[in-house]
Amino acid sequence: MNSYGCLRKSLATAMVAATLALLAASPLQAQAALSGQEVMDKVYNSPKPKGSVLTMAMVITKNGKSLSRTLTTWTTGDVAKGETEKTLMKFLSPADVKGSGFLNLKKPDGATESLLWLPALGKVRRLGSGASDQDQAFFGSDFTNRDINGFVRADFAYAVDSFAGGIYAVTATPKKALGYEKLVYHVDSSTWKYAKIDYWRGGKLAKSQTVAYDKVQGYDMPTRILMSSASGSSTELSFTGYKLDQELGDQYFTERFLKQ
Amino acid sequence: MHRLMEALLKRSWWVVGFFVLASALAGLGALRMHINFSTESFFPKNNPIMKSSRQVQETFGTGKNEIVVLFADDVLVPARLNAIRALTASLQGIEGVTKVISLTDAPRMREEGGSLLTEDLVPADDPSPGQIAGIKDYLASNYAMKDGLLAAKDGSSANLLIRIDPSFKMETMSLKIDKVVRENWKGRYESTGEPVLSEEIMRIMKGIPAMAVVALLVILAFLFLNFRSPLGILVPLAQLLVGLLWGLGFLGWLGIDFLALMAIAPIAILAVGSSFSLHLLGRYFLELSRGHDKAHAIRTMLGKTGLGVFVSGLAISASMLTFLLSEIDMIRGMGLMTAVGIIACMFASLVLLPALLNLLPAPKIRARGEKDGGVSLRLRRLGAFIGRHPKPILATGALLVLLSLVGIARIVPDSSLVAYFPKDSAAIRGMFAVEKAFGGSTTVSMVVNGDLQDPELLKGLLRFQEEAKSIPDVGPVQSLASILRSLHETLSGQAGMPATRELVAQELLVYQASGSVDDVSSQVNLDYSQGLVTILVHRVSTSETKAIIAKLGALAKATLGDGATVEFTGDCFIESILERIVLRDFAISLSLAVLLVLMIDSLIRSFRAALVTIIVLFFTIVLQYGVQGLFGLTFNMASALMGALAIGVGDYAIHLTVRYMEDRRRGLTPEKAIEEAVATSGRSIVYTSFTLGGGFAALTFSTFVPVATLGKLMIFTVFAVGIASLTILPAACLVFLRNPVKSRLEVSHE
Repeated sequence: MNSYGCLRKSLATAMVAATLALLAASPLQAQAALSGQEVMDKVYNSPKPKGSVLTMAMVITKNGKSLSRTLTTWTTGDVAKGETEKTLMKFLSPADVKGSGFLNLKKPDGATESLLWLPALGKVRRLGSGASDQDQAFFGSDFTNRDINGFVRADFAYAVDSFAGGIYAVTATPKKALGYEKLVYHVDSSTWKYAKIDYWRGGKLAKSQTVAYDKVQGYDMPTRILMSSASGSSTELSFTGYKLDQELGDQYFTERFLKQ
Repeated sequence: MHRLMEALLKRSWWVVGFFVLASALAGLGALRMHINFSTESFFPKNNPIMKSSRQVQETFGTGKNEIVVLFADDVLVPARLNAIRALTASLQGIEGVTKVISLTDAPRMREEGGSLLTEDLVPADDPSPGQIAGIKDYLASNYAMKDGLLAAKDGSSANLLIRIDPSFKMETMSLKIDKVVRENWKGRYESTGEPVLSEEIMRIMKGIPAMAVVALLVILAFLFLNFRSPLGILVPLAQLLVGLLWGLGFLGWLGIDFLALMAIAPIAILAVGSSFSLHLLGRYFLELSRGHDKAHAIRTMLGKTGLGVFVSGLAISASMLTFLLSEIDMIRGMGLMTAVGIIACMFASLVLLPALLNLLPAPKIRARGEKDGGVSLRLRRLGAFIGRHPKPILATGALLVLLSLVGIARIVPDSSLVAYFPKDSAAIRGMFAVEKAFGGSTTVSMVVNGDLQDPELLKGLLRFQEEAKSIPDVGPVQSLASILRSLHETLSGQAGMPATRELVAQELLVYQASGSVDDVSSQVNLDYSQGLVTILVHRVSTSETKAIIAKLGALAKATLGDGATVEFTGDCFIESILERIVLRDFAISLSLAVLLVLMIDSLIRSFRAALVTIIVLFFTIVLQYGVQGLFGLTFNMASALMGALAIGVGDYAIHLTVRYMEDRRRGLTPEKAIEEAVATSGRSIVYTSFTLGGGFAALTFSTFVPVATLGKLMIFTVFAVGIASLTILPAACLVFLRNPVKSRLEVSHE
């Protein structure tokens, strides 16, 4: 073979090798090419039921002692879609709090109306909203109201830290004061659900949330959420009943239903 | 032993080299030593009550607190409230601060237009006059706030309660908090709490090196006065530095922290170690003055005086090691460091000192005739006097003992931390100012075990809170009951407590809706089986604290009934039980020291000689504590150490007893033997007293009150031992040791 022939052969070999390498890498390359915003868009846009009735058990544990409560929540509406977010919570157990309830109506303009019903007191009290409501703990647990209600997508800037084993690690940096310095989401690219969120405050890991999912009526719904705080306490939410895509009319979000 | 001595003398350079290397290694250990300024080191770490206290801290997240009181003409004006808000935010930003409770971010529940509002007590900057009027009204009427918890009723002060993560260094946190307060508050402020006390301890301990230098200089001055030769300074200096370095280094390599009371150890090592040099060099110079050469002088020094120094060193170390039985870290550390340092001094005096003397040229000493010098002549006359009047001298001693017992009966124990700091120190000044403004500066925590959702128990708890405030020196009291009382009034519009279990549970649900896990569990644990009652009290003596706690216990029984049991904890409570521990440590260390010294002296010398000497030492200790009682000096941790310290330090008195016994066996009459013993051994005893006294005098410069008091009392003690050794001891020898039996080993002393 002459020198020109050798050169052609070498070049062809190199091109084949390069093409094979590119083909092998392409799925990963395509995945890793997603930006933080894109990953979180997929998370936020993943299918969610319209209205739902969920029954859950909440167990708060600290220093070997625990406090258990079960409650049912009715939720409907999405402020991001210009709807009023309606949430009603009723405690089922223990017996001394059974029947107590909270009703929260959040309008697209941000105005909030909250009602509190304590059966033992025998009257409904209207609660005023404070600017720091969302950052308050959810019934003395390791969750804040904001953790339960969800963050607003647009309130954060997102950046991918890593992508390995199908899991994206995305750092979300808040654009305004939201009680945390940053959140780090660990998103499963096969379901576009986050399996874990790390909450950072003051340069330290303040708490971590891990979520287990199951398919319920076609939706990936959390079955168990565990929030572990750096101070040693933990709160577990276990979901025991799901009624999804419910048409929840206004009658569910009234003082009357609250008192039933 | 003789062969070993010869071998070491032949290799003097090797000996010096060994000590230099070993001391360098020890010095590295000393550099590793960490100084711990925490007040926790004052308390017995493994005591069940301490463990219980830590458990309560963990359960309720109480942590460590600093209270800052801000003073102004009126804190309830916009400018001041803005400053308090800014200060609160800045303090929250300090790493290690877990929570700040102040006027501006205290939660408030109020009714407006039919709605129940939850908001910050001071909602925004520059509140209007109407808002300020509302704040004043809330502070005056709200059940949880009306006792002046957040602000004085007349507006002259505002209080900040700063919770600190216990894993952070308290003294550093105090400095950081102080800096932030100075930057944000233009006006007077005072602070108190464990961080402030830790900072004060840090300041005090910075003076320890200077104290050690003063002690060393005084000791060297006395040595020079005694020997009138540079050798009399240089050689002891080397020996003392070995003792000091090895003592510090040993603890450093073991990873033991240097704690406040351990300031006594370096001074004790220097003082006691110098007495070894005194005796050995005294013999060396005596032999030189008799015309002997250097080699002969060194051999005679070691042969005749070495064993005595060895036994004394053992005896003193043994009495120091009795402190290892204490429950308190700083006492154990003090005992260990002193024991190791003294053993090192003893070893250096028997090995390094001869080597140095061997290498250095002998000083020119004028041959001394048989005629006594001035001191010896006076001592001889004293010895002769004692020989003529032993019984009246003993009777005088007995009378002094009786008087001392009266003084001992007047001793007031006080282990409260406040007694450890000078009254004009920033920590104490701050404490009194905070007490006046806040109603107390320390807390007693009462843990209530019972059903904290039982309305009857909660009513009892509220009654307890109300009635506790009428006990003298008790300030505001906080518990779940006061929170529920406020909440019930706001939710229902009615004063009083929720009447049913369901209402208690549901109102607590509302309380929990506004707080984190840590907030909620700061008053009651998660299953409502334990609640914490925080009682603010004045810092008083431990006996007064015990009385307060007894009254609180009785009140709890009367108001809570059989439905609950209570346990007390908190720094204040722990200080009150510290007294029992200190007294127990005192009894054990003193008894053991007497026993050990008696055993050691008996084994080497004679039991009777040891017994007679110990009796005299005991007399001195009784006198020492009698003086303490008569002068109203409180009995604390440091004075508890004095007994065993005196036994160990005063052991040199046995040199006189042994000298007397030797002269008796030589055939001298008892009176003549005593005269000789006082004239010869007495000189060493006089100089030893001055050297020891001079060394301990350095402790009087400490601003740490127990250490300074110990210094003063030790000066008294060493001189009392000296005087008793030259009066009571010779008299006791004449009465109880007129015909001593043959001793196991003869030891010759000056």
